[in-house]
Amino acid sequence: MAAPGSLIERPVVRRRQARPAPVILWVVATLALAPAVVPFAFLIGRAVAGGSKAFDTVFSDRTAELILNTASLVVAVSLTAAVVGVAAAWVTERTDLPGRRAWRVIVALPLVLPSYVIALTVISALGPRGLLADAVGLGLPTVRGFVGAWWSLSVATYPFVYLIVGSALRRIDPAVEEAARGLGSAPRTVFWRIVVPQLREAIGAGVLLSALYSLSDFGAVSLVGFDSFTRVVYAQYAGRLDRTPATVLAVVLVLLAVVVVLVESRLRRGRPFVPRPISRPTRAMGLTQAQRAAATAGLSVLGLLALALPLGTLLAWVGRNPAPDGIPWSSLAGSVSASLLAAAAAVVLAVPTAVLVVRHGSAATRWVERTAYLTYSIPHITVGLAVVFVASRYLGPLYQSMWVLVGVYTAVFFALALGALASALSQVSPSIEEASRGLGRGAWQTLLRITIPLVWRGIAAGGLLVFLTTMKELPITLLARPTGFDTLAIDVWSAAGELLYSTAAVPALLLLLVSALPTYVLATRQR
Amino acid sequence: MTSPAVTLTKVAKRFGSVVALDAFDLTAPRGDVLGLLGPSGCGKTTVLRVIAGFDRPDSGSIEIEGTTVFSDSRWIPPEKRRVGMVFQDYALFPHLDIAANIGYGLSGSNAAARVEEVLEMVGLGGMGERMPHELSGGEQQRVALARALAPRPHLVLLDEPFSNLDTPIRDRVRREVRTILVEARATAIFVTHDQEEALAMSDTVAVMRAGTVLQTASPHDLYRRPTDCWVARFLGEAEFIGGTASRGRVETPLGTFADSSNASGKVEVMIRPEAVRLTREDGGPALVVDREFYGHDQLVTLHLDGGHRLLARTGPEPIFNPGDHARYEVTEVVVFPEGAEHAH
Repeated sequence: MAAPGSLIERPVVRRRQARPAPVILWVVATLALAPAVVPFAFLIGRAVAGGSKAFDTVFSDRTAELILNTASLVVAVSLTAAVVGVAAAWVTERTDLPGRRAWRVIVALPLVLPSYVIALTVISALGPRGLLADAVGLGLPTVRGFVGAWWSLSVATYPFVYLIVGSALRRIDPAVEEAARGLGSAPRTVFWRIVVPQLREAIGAGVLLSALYSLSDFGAVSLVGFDSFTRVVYAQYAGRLDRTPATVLAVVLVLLAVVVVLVESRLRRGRPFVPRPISRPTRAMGLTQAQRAAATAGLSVLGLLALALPLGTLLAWVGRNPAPDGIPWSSLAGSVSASLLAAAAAVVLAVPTAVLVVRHGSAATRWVERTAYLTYSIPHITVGLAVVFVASRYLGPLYQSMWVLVGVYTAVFFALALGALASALSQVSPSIEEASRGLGRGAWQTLLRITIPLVWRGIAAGGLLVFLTTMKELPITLLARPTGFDTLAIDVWSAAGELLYSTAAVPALLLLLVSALPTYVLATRQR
Repeated sequence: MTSPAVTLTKVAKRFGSVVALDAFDLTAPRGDVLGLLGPSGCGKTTVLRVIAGFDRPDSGSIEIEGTTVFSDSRWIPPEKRRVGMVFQDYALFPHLDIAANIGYGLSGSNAAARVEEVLEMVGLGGMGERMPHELSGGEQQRVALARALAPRPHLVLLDEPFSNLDTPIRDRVRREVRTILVEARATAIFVTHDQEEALAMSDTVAVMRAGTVLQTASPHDLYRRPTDCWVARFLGEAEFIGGTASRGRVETPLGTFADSSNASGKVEVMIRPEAVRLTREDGGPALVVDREFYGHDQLVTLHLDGGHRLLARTGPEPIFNPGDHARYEVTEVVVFPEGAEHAH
């Protein structure tokens, strides 16, 4: 459910010269982001200070191999996500396929599955000794390693492309296509020359998300045993006293993320355009009988592999051996309480920060936004490592405390709350707030009586996004949690790591159950 | 004349490198409707915003009802100025109903009664429970006005108040708003780029260009005696020809006319279309080259012997068509010393 800054649409408001912002707004924005940014800066400092040892780590054959592994995974997943996402979006948004409303839900649903849950179900259902092989009595090929990682992450990330391209397809004005037809273009020409260029931005944004996700994913690659960067960073951290190699690799991982962003923006280079408001809904393309059958078959396979297989597998494990270790109440409480705290903190800090970036926009406030989105895009394993590094040295009693953990969650996912609020706030005309001031109400009263009621949906959406994302978070929790503090994500990951699939299925299902309601609220409200 | 409701003295405001207001002076008499007229980007909205306190000037001073609200050493925030603003987009609070919108600036026990009173005044009695989006553009406009008037402000500011309305209802709403403002005895300043609107609505019009006031006068005086060619052109159709003035007369290629400006030497002579009388006459000295028909009148473009162009506004009958010949008579001219336009 990620929505980084490049995707947040804001109507272009004719903005007069922004007034200088009150200092308190800057203080809030700094407080919100500092728990992640400061440790990250320290981490880079430490990697640089590593000197020749750092140099040796970076330019070793092992690092080259890791880069190759990770790059091939990222490319394979991005391509798969792009093809599956665009095809599914086209079929469900632009054709007269029967049942397309239901398909839209089914195809988008895997978005709620964390990568490690998908990986858990893939390795435990498929493979030579998986559930399916058991059921049919046949040996199936193994899906560990590259194939398992590619499969899990493709399922986890194609919904990004699907949702973004789908919404772009709805926003393309059919009048433009009709104009092209009227100028003598055949439907196929219209598609390639008019529709696809208008989708370029959306596909780019979706693929960028998919690529960043697979680059920084830790849960799936560690469960399927594929040596991509994140897995090795963690192994180096956990297995060695000398933390320099882990630190250096974590920084190289961030550089790879930067490369992904640069490559994407280069591929997308071209003049940006502002989509026109559409005059009427788009027209569905009529499918022939054969095309209809093919589309339905394709979507069915997708639904089976991406949704039915993971859910079915979890249920099957629970059915086989219902709750071998009981319901993990304390982990449930840990997940929910930490996520609620992070969501509340993020929203409370995001309201003033949104006022800062929307109402007092300047070159400096654009850096606040950028910093928030960069913090969100840094692979979480790196953030986790940085926090451990700083907290263990400088924070004394706070090291491994809930305060630190929640502060880091808040900072890392701050971009989600900020994006939702900034987008809501920018839809409120500044003259509405000025009208309130002119009628004798001060800045505080205006905030409480006018602004907050009007951006309430943004507050709810931002809070839910942070809650959901924190619930699923794994690597930061793993590294920076207090001793004895467990979450559902940790339970799934550690049980699956020990091949205790029935034990892992219970927290996995709980995680999905707790996420279901907020996801439903978000999905129905956004439309 | 009573004491002014608002006075701006040498107000300057820059946005980055753009000068919005430059040593700007303005006085609005109490109880008057003052129109601020100028092309877009001339700084007229900024005038309203500095009076209301939404933008802070770089220098100068502003006084409202005898209280200094801005000077080098003083800043009164917008909520303490008692200035009502009607925004171009109305800025109604979308989450509050009409009564709550109007009552927003009120407090105390008679708030509800005042809301009713103001609703009646703008002709929306009984509509208090509607939501803003349920109203037409004209009704929203009146709610915005009612909301601004409810706390009995010293001053009401209206920013391009009619620009969001369609032409057919625009004139009607304009008349209604004028009536409401007069009945409420409110001092009002409104901003427009439409000269017709400014002339029709205002007791006084201030013409602005590039951050300064060029001329302040009653609509009639402004139209009849613009201070320079630019103001003259901005207020309506006109043609200019060169001439020579001396002792109350001005000689032009089109004839000799009376001149009240006491100019002498080379001058610019302005002829308004309605000061040209036209009669159809085969072989007449003016050739009709174009005609725009408006229903209540027609605007005829003429070519004269000697290459001059002239515009004439005449009644709908008889119709003039391109190719017709006509005789013309200029009944009145306005004389500007040469170079007056270049002063700005």
